[in-house]
Order: sequence, then C-alpha cells, then structure tokens
Amino acid sequence: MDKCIACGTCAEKCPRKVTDEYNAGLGKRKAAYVKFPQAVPLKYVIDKDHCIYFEKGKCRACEKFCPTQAVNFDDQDREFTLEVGSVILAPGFEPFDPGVYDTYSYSHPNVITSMEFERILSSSGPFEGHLVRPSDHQEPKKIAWLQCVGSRDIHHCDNGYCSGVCCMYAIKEAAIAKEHAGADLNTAIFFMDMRTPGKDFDKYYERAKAEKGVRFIRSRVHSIEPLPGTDDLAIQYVTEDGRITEEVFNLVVLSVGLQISKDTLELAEKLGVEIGDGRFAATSPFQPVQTSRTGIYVCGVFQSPKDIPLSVMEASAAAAESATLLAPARNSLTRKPPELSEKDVAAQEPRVGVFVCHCGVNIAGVVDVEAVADYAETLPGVAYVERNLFTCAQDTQDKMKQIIEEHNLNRIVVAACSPRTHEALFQETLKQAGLNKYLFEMANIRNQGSWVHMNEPEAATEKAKDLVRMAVAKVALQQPLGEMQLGVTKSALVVGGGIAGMTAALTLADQGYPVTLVERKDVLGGHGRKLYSTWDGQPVAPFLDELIKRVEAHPEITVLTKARITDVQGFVGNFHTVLDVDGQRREVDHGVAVIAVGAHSLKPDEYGYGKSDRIFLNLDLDQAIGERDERIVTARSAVFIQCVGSREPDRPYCSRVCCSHSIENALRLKKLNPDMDVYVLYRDIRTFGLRENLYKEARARGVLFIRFDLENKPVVQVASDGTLKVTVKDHVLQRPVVLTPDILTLAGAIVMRESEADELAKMFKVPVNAEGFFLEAHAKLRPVDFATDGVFVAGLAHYPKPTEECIAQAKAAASRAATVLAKDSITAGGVVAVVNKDLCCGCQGCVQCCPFGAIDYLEREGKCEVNQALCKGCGTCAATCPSEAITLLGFSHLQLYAQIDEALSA
Amino acid sequence: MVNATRTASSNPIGSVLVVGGGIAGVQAALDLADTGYFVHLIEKTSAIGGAMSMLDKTFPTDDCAM
Amino acid sequence: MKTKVRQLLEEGRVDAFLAYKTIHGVPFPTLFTKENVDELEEWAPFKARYPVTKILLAQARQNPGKTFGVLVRGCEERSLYELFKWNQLSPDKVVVLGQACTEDLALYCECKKPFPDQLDYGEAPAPVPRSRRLEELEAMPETDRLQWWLSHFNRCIRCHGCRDVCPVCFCTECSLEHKELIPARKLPPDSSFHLVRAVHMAGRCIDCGLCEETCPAGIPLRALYKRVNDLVENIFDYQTGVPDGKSPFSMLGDESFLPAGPR
Repeated sequence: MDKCIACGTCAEKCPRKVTDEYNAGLGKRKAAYVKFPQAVPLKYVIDKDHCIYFEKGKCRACEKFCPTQAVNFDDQDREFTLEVGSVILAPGFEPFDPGVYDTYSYSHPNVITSMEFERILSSSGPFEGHLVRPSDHQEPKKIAWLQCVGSRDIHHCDNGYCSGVCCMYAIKEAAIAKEHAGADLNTAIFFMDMRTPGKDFDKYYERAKAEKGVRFIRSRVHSIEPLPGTDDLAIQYVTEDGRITEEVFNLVVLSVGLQISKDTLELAEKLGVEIGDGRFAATSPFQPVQTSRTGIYVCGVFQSPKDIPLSVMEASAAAAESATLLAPARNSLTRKPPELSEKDVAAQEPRVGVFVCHCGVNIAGVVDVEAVADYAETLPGVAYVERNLFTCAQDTQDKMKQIIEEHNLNRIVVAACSPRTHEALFQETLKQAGLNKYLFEMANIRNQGSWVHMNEPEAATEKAKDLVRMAVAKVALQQPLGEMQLGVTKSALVVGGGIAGMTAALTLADQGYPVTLVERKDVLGGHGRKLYSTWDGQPVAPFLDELIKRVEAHPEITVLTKARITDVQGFVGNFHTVLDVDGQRREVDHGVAVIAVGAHSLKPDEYGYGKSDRIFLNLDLDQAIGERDERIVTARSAVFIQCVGSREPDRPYCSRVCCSHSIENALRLKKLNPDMDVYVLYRDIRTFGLRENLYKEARARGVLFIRFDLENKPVVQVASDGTLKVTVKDHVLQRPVVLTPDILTLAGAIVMRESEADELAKMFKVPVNAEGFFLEAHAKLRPVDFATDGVFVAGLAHYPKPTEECIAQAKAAASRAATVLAKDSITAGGVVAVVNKDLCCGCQGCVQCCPFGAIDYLEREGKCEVNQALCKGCGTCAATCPSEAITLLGFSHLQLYAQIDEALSA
Repeated sequence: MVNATRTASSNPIGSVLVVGGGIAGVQAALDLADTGYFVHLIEKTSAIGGAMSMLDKTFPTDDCAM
Repeated sequence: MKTKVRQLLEEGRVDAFLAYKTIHGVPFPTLFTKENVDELEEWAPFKARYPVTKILLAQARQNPGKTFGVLVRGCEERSLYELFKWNQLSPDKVVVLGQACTEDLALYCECKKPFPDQLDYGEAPAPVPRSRRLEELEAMPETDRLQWWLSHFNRCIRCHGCRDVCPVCFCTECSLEHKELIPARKLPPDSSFHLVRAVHMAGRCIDCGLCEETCPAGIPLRALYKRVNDLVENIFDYQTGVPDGKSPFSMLGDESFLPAGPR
C-alpha cells in the first residue's frame, strides 16, 4: 500500500470488468480499482471476489505493469487485536432495496432508486453528469419521484419510521435535475407529508415550488406500470379531490429510505449493544449517543434516521463522551512529530530546483516533458532540473531531499499535478531537507495541461513551459514565512444556562476544563423548566433537577446567574470577556466560548390567543395536563392548530418540534379521557424519524387529523360566553367543518428575539441568519462551529430542535471546543494577510468582507489590522482593498504581477 | 468481538476504536485525535467517505458533497 | 440659503459650510463660517462643477471632530454616499443642502439623476438615461472597440488628473504610482494604467464625469467606468451612489469554507 502512487495503470490493464457499487450499480469498474477518484487513502485495490487470478490462477497483468511494484498477490487478511478505551459505532445505513414492492417495477431499467439518481447527476457518475435515463441514454422530459419507499410502511417492509431525509433529497434531486436539463424538464414529487423541518429546508422547498416549478402531488402511488412499446412508465394516482389520474413519465425515482443492515445488527449483537425500535441502537433522549453498553457510543443513522449535519453533531457528541470517559488517559497514546531545524536562506540568491513529473503517462503521454525540463534550465534563478516518473513516490521524495541538500537549493518548483492534493506532501519534504515549507510552488501541468489539452500535445507542452516559467518567477520572490505559537487559556465560557448550556459546561468540566456558565435569569434550566416530557414520554423534570445539581456542585464550573455579557475581546485561545453580574463588573479569560442562549416561544397574535383561558400554547397545556386542571379534566373535545407563526411568509421556517409535541399532548388527552374528541389541524405532519410511531398511535387511538392550506387557515371565534368555534375547510370532504372544542391548543413557533442575539453575535463576531438564529460555519460539515475560530453554538439558538438534539449538539460543541483546549498552543502565521498601515485609509472594506472576523478596525489610528490567529489566508481582503494596502503572504502583489508578466511574456 | 478488560477504571486506555468511515465516523475520529486520543478508524471498503461520497450535491445549500 | 446657512452656523449644527462665492464672475468653492457668512450669496443656478466632496474630505481630515455643511448636486450627493460607505466621512459630521442642476447641464452631462435626494434649491430636471458614447461603443465590432480604446489610451500623458479630481479616490497612496504594478516613467503608460484605474472604479464610480472633463488628452474615461459599473451591477446586483448596500466584495466570503490553521 505504501508503494502505490495511484497512477491507475493496474486498473487500465486489468481485463475484468465488474459492476460498480460506488455508482449504485449503474456503471462498470475493473477488478483492480480505486473506489472513486478522490478516495482517501488514494490507493488502488484488487477485488478478490472478481480478480481473474484469484478465480483461475492466471493473469497478474496489474502486477506486471505496476511501475512501483506495489501489487502483492500474497497479501492476506490479517486479524488485529486492539486495546482501546472506548468504541464509537458509526456503521451508517443501507439504502432500502425497493425490490420487495412488487407493484413498483423496480426491475425496469428506468425505475431507479434515489441513490442511483445521485450517481446519474454526478459528474463522476456513469454518464459523467449528463442527465439521461439508463434504458436508452435519452434525456428524460418527465421525471417522477415517489416518496416513502421503505419508510412509513409496515406492509411491504418493517420500516414504520420516517427516514427523515428523503423529502429534502428528492426536492434537491428535482431542482438539480432541472438545472442540468433546463427549466422545461417536468418534475413531479408524489408525497404524503412534505417533511422539511430542518434549518433552511422549508425555504428550499418553497423555492423549488415557486421558482423552479417542481410539482408536488400529495398522493401515495400504488403502482408503476411499464408502458408497452416504449421505455416509459405510467403512474396512476388519486388527486386530492378524489379523481383517478394517470401520467406517463420517462424516468421514475424511488425515494428509498434508510435502514440498518444485517451486518450492523450482527455487529451490535456481538458487541452486546441493545437494539431498539426500528432496529436502531437503543438510546435515551437524555443520553442520545450512549448505547446500552458502557463505553460504547453510537452516532449517525445507526442511532436513528437522520441527515448529515445531525450525524456530524452526534459524531462530535460521541467523541466528547469517549473523551470524558478517557480523560485521565488523554495524550497517553498520541505521538508528537519531531521538531525540525530550518536553514536561513532569506538573504540568499534564489537557487531554484525544478522537478518535472511524468506522472507515468498521465503527463508524459501528452506533454513533451523533456522539452519542458530543458526549457526550465534556461530560466533565471534555476540551479537544478530533473524529471521523475512519479515525483510523489516515496523514493523520489527521499531523493529530492538529498538533492536539495547536495545542490544547496533554496526554492523548489514541482511541475506535476494539483497543490490541492499534493502540496502538503512536497512541503513536508522541504521541511525534512531543512527548508521553510513556503519556499515552494507547484505548476499544475497535468490537470491544466495534459488532461485538458489531451488532443493538442504541442500546445500542452507550450502551456507547461508557461506554467513552469510563472512558477519559477513566483517562487524566486517567495520569502520564508514564519509561524508563531500563541498560548491557550484552557477554560471555557458557556453563554446560556438551559439544557444545552449546562450539558456543554458539564461535558467540558468533566474533561477537566474550568468553565464559567453565564445565565441571564436568576435560575438555571431555561426552557427545560417548562417541558413536561420528551417525545417518547420520559419526564424532563427529574433529569433537569439532576443536571442543575451536577452543574452547581461541579468543582470546575462557576455559575453566574443574572449575568450579561457586555464586551468580548481577543480571539481563539485568548478571549477576554467582560460581564455584568447583577450590577457588578466581572472579567473572565477563556480560550473558547459556547453560545447556547436558547430561543423563545412565540406569543401568537391570531386564532384568538389571549381572548379565552381555554386557548393554550403546548407548553401551557403540558402544565395544565400535569396539574389535572379543571378545564382539561372536564373537556369533551380538543383542537390543536399547527404551524402557528411557523411556515408563514414572514417566518419561513418550520419550528421542528410542534407536530410531535401536539401529538404527544393529543395522546395524553386521549389517555386521560378516551372519549374526548381530539382534532389536529395541520399542514404537513412532520413526525420525523421514530416519532412517526406517535403519529401512528394517535391515529390508532382515534385522534382526527384535518389538513389545511396556508391560503385557507382555520378561523377561530371566541363567543362572549367564552365558547370556542373553529372552522376549517376539510380537504377530503371539500367543505368547511365547524368544531366547537372545549380547549384549543396553538402550536406556536420558536423564535429568536433578534436584538438579543444580534448584540451577542456582534461581540463574538459571528453571524446570524435572517430569522435571527446563529449561523454555523457550514450547514453540513461544521454544524456547531462558527467561521470565527473558538466560538461554538448549541441548542435552540442555532435552530428549533427537540431535547435530545439539543443535548447531542451541546456535547458536540463541547467536543469541538475541547479540540482547542487540548492544545498547548495555537499555530498562527504562514499564509496570512498583513496590512501595511501607511497605505491603509481605514475604509474597512476588508473588515466587511472577511469571512472569519479576523480584521479589526483600530479606531484610534483609523487603520485596519489582521489578527493572524484568525486569518485563514483566503485573500479576500487583499483583493478587496482599494489601496492595495493588504498583502497576502505567499501571494504578494509583487509575486502575482511577476507571474502575470511571465504569463504574458511568451 | 469486544472483551471488556478494564471497566470504568481510573486508569483507562487512551485510544478509541471508531467503527465506520462515513462522515460520522470521520468526524468522531478527527475530534478525538484533536483532543489527544489515539484513534483506530476501521472501514469495510477501500476508502473512507461512506454514503456522502456518493451524493452529487447536498441540501439545502447545493454544495458539492465531495 | 443665506438664512438657512447662518442658522446652521449659529445653532452650532455645523462648524463651517462649503458653498460658492462668485469671483470674477465665476462661482468658486468657499468655506463659510460665522465670520464670513455675510459674503454668502443667495442661491441661483450655475453650471460650474468642482470636486466639492473631495474638498470636504480634505477639510474633514484636517479638522477631525468638526461638522461641515455642504451644498451638493446629484452627483456630489452620490459621492458622499460612497464616502460614507467607505468610512472616509462620518454621516453625522456632514449636513447636506441640495441643489438641482439645470436642464442644460443635465443634458450636457447625460446625467441619470441630475438632482440630489435632499433637494432644497431648484427644480429637478428630467433624468437623461441614455449615454450616446456608450451606444456608439456598443455598436462597434469588438475588434475595433479594442483598437479604439488603445488609441485613446495612447494619448495619456500620465498627469493623474483623472485621479486627482475624482471625488471617490481617497487612498493615501495610489496604485497608479505603484511601480511593480505599472512600470514607472513610461509614456504613454502601459494600458494597465487605465485598466487598474477602471478596476478600482468598479463599484465606486458615481458617474460625475469630472475625470473626463479634466483629462487634457480627451480620453473617454467616463464611458470606461460606466461599463465597469454596469458589470458590477449585472453580476453583483450592486449600485453605487445609493445610501446603503454592502460592498459587492463583502459577499465573496459568504460561502467560504476553509480549514483552520495555517496552510
């Protein structure tokens, strides 16, 4: 494996073609293969089950042609015994196999799964991103998506749960398909409830409907029939007003759900990990990543069906649990890289070494590498040139190190592939040879040369020369860049004393880091104080009491109530925050901060709220049921209205928890009095994941669900004697239904009070979105980080979410925060921007555009300054500065002009 | 096969086994390595990335999954 | 106007007021304080134009903390908006009185908005949406267009008048004198001279036309900057010379996603 340089010769020479599982079975790969072009590790493997040598004892073509002798047919499976302190299970899911739906014609080539469709859309897929259907490779004009295939279904399979991701991915696939094929493409999504309860999901849904023209048809499709004499498919469905309609589609995508594979279940059994509902790992909302076995944690879809950001959050949460468990052994098994000394070459004349790579035949097959190398020798400052079959191979790296030393080279150019994949490797070699790693430049003569100009070898060679000339000119002007070490204050500030804040504080404190927990109110607990139970019926109060007790008793946690932040200075590892604690000024030094300030419940201004003591919010109803309030006990009829203040034009998001909350309460009312008439007036029931069980149970117990549209919202009248009248248009009956409930519950939105969040956001230099929720660094991959290092977010301040997600996110935030606190120092410098203050005229264009909050405006001097600890070297400021007062080190104006001059000098 | 050799001790082992190299496994492994623990990341196939690496783009930002 | 300005000065709302005084029959920008406010004449329309906000900027830089009043035309108000946005002037340190341009002047300038938002004196003339020069340019075949520009650029004598008169040029050191960017002591300068200035005008030029009027070589600079601003407007949906709107550059970082730590 160490010898493989991923040149691809083995796959090229391998005579056996195999169905490619990476392309969801739609394409072919070889028996010697790499899973996908960006694979990590980027190493080719031999598929033993399909290799001709393993089948017939003859072939070994790959071995013969491998330029680095990396193929080893004697390799055997080996068994390892590992001693570990804990285990994290992240085995993922398998897409549901729709073959069991005998009426969906899945064997037809043009009925495909959503995973297959992903591969069709992908430029690395079987059709190189060209949207065609499998049967005849024609561009489809009409595509249908069928939702809930293998989800919310206990008839064809045993998957009663909602997979939670299919509605969104189907919308995405339809929208992207239209981008590929043009607006004329007809796309239709057949669904039961549109479940888009995540951050910015509803906006995406509305955009798909209004701007992209994706059709949404609320109907469960019974069957897909091939249309005889064509490759098309007919779908018969019942429209909302009860008519039976048939439509013909060129391609049908089955939105398959997520399920746990047999392998995973076997693994769980071996590990003694208990399996719960839906064959997911059994967990509790209060311990969302803890399995039934101590020391074994779970994250991702094996925990329960979920999307990427939640999986990432849970992964960090599971890491935090492991880290807490193993805190005494931290750093006991990790290794530190040796320190290397560096030659001082700053004052030396440039002696550039140029290494021209053949990349096997990848470059040399097109570009005349010999001519490029000869040309490089003529360039000013070049002291040494050589060609390599594979510059990235380990033996070439060893040789490069030697040559740098022997020839006293002080700048290096590698003319090969992309710095994106290989720069770090070569920079490491420079370090080993005692050179500052920034005295390096790559000329990408493969991706930008031999690959794109495959059919014009002469032009490709000329371009390669240009690229080398530019790189040499740039690197000659490169100065060694310094890196500096900044200390880390190993303590945290957690803002907000609700469930999320307290959980984050405890998770950090349990790992040994001191925490200051700041709460505005005079008590801890936040919204948790008002919650009655989790969605699966576990009481919140005992958990909360225990949590508060642990926080207050923890020796590493300082709790400050009636406290408000007034100023934040500093940066990652070195924050200095000023607080107002009940009128007293207090200052705290801390290395990280977790923002968990929570949100608020909306006080509705519609549906008669406040005009009758029989109109509740869900949180009030929780309490009233708990207290066996007279109004509840005597009620014979109850109505819930959903989406009160959510999914409205001026608040275009779903509050995520209200469907489950209302149904929970509907069930509690039914348990209290099975004869009570309970109605839920809803737009889409969004009981995602295992919550679908609640919905099923509610229907079984006779709770009635009536759907309404935003255009036809229910009307509530409060008579003078206090009786309630609710009028709603029933979609099935197509006429108004009048209800006279004894109690009415409004499922109100969860909202941010913007001024509050804004103030905090400004102080910590982090952004909020249009609805006032804090905006994470990356919706998918960095769900609890901010672009500003050292500041993290958890709980409702990020987006409405249920208790278990708040807890997972809080632990995740603690985990991410611990990655900073675990360090003794933070490395800053390298490729960063610097402001020449003599040129700066204080326009603050850079302050506005820096995505990392790394630039400060110094009021007194009227100048801007880059904080090197926060700068990530993106260069946006340098491009913005109207006075060219900002230099991005390693990409100075001088270097870029030199490159441009060289580019134009040919 | 997992055998518990030491349970809930004050002297635990400073390494973690992460099962699965999808986005969740990778994130857990990175966080642990960054906080001072040795990580064994095991993956059934020949590359990490899991299901996410098969996706074309991701909702709701339409970012490339790669 | 005299009464109004006197009132502003006496109430202490401004420390000085920048308006005009007729000298040898020509209105000339003059700073009025309590001491000389008597010399201020009543408002009457006139055609002369000056980089009045640039004069204001110089005064403000010399006298930090002082508040100034200024009489502005439409284009001058646009330049004020830019100077506010780029933090060169503070809006609460500037009091504006506005005057409309005459219809003649509006036609001559081909001005899209020949009056300020704050209109105190004169009648707003009709806007002139079309630019004849741009239309001529658009009609030209692309190859000719390049030649046309180069022939104009070749007349440049590098006097820097376009920059010196420009009300939104506020840098302390100018890229046009950056010898790595534009080789020094070369006449005519490399065409990069005009391209660099054009790039710097993108998202900033408020289309007052003073540069073109000033240019001794008669280079059609205004058309050049109109074109770059059209591009900025089309690509970033960003307009210059309006009170708000973040710089188009500020959206560059929106989707940035970079790993932590040095590379």
